[in-house]
Amino acid sequence: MSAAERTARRRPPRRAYRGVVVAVLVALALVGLAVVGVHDLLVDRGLTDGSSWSRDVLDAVDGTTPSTAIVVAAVVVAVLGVVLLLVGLAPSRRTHVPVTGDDGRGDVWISPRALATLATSVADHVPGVVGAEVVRAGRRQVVVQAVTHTTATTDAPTDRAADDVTSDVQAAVTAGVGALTPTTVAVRTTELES
Amino acid sequence: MTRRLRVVDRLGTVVLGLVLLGAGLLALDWRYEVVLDLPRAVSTDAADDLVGTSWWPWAFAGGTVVLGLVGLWWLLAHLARPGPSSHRLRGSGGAGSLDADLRSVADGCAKRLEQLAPVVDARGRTTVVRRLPVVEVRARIDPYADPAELTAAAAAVTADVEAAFPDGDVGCRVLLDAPRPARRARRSRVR
Repeated sequence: MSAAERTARRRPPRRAYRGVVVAVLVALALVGLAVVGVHDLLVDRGLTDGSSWSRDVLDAVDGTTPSTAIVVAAVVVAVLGVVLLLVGLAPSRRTHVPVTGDDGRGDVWISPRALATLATSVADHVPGVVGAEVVRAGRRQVVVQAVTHTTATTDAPTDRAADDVTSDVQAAVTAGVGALTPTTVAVRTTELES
Repeated sequence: MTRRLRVVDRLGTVVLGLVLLGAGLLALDWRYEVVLDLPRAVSTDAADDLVGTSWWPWAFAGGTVVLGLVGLWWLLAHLARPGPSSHRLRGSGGAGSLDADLRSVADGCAKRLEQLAPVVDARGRTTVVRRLPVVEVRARIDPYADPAELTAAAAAVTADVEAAFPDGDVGCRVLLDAPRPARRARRSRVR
């Protein structure tokens, strides 16, 4: 087994962890706490003017009663806590699907959006198709919408039946990108009314 | 970002989430007295006594400085450029060492992919996937790219890295992304 195949089996590419911002904020808060601790020590030693910040906080908190403002703040804090728990525990999403084509023995990955773009391009080149667009680009399924026109146009013969064009598009997409990844590539066709 | 840093980040987020959730629920219980029987007003007398002791400022400063250093390490860890810069080859020994510059290899692979395949914005970087150094090349496909051409080019780049490191101790990963979304044409207004 090559290094690339071993890498592919070990860990698929994933989206960067969303909680990095939270982690950086917590790290900054810890540094800020150190500033408070040193400031209070300097005040206690008489090396700087002012009052102890930690003592000021205690004075502000002393005598607080459970008011409506406390309830509102408690709900906000609890909801924020649940959000952070979900962010911290949720697995990072996989961003790409493995390419398993003829030459895809290595560690090659493609994003669902890129796969959908390729499928759109393939569909767009089929005679009788006047346009194609991405409807859905997920890791399990990619859906492409092709607009067909079977009456007289510059690139579609007039005698082409709509069903033929639909099956041609499906066959072209399956041959072009269907075998590229395990993702299902589906094609929807709509007839352009003339 | 290293695996260890990801774990630390997640742990920090979960701990903060638990602390906030606990604090919020405690405050709600304080107001509605469902579980605990807490005093109706906060009294900081005990804390005042503690803060008033002669040793407290030193202990508080010492503890917070340690936490601050942890925070500083945490911040700096996020700034560090991820991925190994070089890889020691197996021919290294007591007589000398042979190191391959992996970042140059990654840049070279990105350029090669751009030459071989209908892709743009190819970038190379190094990373570690479960202890295996990996050269990662990431590029945006051309909207009209031939899928067979793409896979052939990716396989060629992978084969190049395999040939350069035949012992299989450096991997190669190719990531293909969608084209950059087209910018909307700027509208001209005429009054």
